[in-house]
Amino acid sequence: MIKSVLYWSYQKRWLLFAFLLGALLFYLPYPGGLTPEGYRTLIITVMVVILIISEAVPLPATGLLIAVLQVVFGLGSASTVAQSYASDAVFFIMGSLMLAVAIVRQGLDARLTLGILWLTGNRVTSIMWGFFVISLLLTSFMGEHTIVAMLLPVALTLVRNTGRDDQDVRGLMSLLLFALAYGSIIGSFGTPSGGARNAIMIEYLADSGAARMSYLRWIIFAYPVLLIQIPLGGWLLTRTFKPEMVYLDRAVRKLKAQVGRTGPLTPQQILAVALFVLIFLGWIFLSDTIGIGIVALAGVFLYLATGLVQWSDLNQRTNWGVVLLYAGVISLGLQLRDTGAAMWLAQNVVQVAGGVMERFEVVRYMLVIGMSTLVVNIMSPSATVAVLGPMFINFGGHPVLLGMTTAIASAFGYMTAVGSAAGMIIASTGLLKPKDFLRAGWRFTLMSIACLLLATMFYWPWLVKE
Amino acid sequence: MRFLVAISSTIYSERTLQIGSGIANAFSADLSVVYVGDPPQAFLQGGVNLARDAMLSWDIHHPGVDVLRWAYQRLQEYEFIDPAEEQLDPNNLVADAGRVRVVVPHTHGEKIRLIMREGDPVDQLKQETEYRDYQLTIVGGGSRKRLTRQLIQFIDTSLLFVKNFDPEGKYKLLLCVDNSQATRRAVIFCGTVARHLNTSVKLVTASKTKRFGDDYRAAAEWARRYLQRQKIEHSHYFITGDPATVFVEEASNDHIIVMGKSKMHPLKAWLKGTKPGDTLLKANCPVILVK
Repeated sequence: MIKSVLYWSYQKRWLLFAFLLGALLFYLPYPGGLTPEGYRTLIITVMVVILIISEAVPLPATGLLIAVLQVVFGLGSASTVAQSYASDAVFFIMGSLMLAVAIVRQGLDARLTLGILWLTGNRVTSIMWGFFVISLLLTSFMGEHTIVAMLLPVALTLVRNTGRDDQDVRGLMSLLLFALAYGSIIGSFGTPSGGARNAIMIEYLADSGAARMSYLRWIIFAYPVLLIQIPLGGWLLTRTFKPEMVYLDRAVRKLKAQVGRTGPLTPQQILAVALFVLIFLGWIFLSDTIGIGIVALAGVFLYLATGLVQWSDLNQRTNWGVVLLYAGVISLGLQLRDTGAAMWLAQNVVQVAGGVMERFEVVRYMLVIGMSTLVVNIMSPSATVAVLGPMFINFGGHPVLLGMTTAIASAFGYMTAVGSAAGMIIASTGLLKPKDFLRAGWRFTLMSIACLLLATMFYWPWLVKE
Repeated sequence: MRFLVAISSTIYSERTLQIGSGIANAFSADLSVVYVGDPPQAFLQGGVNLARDAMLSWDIHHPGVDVLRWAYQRLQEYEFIDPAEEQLDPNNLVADAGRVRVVVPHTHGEKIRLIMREGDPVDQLKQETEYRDYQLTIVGGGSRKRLTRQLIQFIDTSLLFVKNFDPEGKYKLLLCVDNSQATRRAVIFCGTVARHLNTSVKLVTASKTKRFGDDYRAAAEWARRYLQRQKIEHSHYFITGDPATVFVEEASNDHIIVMGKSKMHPLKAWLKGTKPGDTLLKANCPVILVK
């Protein structure tokens, strides 16, 4: 009995710590300048961050806890809290997860492979550039996990077709896998549909009255930051990983033969691509009026209605628990804003900085980028934006610039596998080590931070002046 | 009897598997090989599952399946199972009780089980040993203090830590004898292993003071007689000093240490640590803790 209690306590130590800390903070006097509601929201935020990072309980349970604590702490009635769980950003997250399943099920990976190899030929560095650029561009519209899920098997098959042991081609394998993952990470901030965090930030900016970011306006802000990283990122990859061979003649020939057996494009595949183009046009022209999430859900409806995907497939492969958690975290983010807790936090950080931010605007953005980059490497991109977004929007500068900076910097999860969906997917192959992420990650982090800082200082101010 | 071998990769698990199959042979035991891998972060699990689904259509399997396939081939090389037996079908998987089992070709369905789990290693091994009745759990390492202590405390079977095992080395057995309840079981276990490995046993009784109590002497005498009856070559020493240090020094790196698992109160063991735990952390050789 004692042994079981001891074991449970050890396994759930972070859960116990979160509740003990929450109880302790609850009975402490709340700081001046902060409302009781704001203070309680901060307590919930601290507990939720501990539970998300430690995964002491299943993540959907954390999503449920957020609702329970909001009502118990008197932050809103059950109905109000329930309403805050449903928003366009949540619809987008739900829709994009289902769209990913629908698209991956179409078997378009073979087409993509042929396209990439047609462009690149057999030279290893060309293939690396092909993976990097194609994944970057496609991810910016379709989301990280869709593209990485489709291209990862291609990259691995190419490596295995060399006929050598995985350990003997570590350089080649790392080069191709990181080209795929880092291309996807960079691509993920290019458009609002590139990642859930972008949709969350659009929602925060609209709700705070700062700006309504349309799909196209986001692209105008973000795409130059993305494009400038294509040559730099590709160059960094070639500097970091040295492949064991220059050409992949045999591997490419085998892969082409393998892919060639699938035959020409089927009518279903053509329809799947056409529907995605339609969704993309919907995002561009309709998201401003009906919402990016509604367009995504309409897309899912079309895939289901045309029979391109079965509901059982979507139901089985969509991570509904994550949708619940995102809904909870977004609800908490809105609570941080409404109770003034986000503003209080922001003002205190600005005060601690002692006027440096006022004199040197760059410091403000460096702080936002630094904190977002740090947190994303231990949490997850969307949770980072959901929790930090409301605070950073109130950081004293232009809210749109700060919001965009937060959303984009939250993509810089290069250094750990948990920092991005793409990183986690390539790590799940079991072929990479944490030090591989560090080896390439710090270079990419510095490059991306520099590009983003340049945009915040010289390009974006010019856009918001218009 | 049923033994469990925990592995995590093809690079670090070869020795664990080798000694595990040898010990299982000695006891004519069934062997379950469990792969325990790191789970994807829950936030990003959906993407990982999607990628794994897509990879299956390219005939690329979960890394755990590849490791288990490698383990199966190794067990054939060690002749634990018939080398002529057909190879595994990596697509033939069965999910049950929160784990995945790779179905093994017909004749070895009972002798060998290949299991795949993801999660915290201690938690997964605890779940596995609670799900099926195992007598011995074989794990690699034994150097990471926190993990080792948790395994000793929470895995409710005998444990073999494959530490610094040299496959070419000729190992003798060092049996730690004291007045604990588990000593007799350790003696019997040690006798079986010694017979199989055809090696000698060094009995060591250690005390912090120069005085060895009657209970210590009685336990040593019982062990000596048991090994004599089993016709196992043995020698016996009473040594004064810190028991863990004495055992480690006497074992050097050419013995396998065998000792009983501590029956100390769980809370006390948690706070203070135990003699077997201290010995294991200091040892430079494999250690068997008999429950």
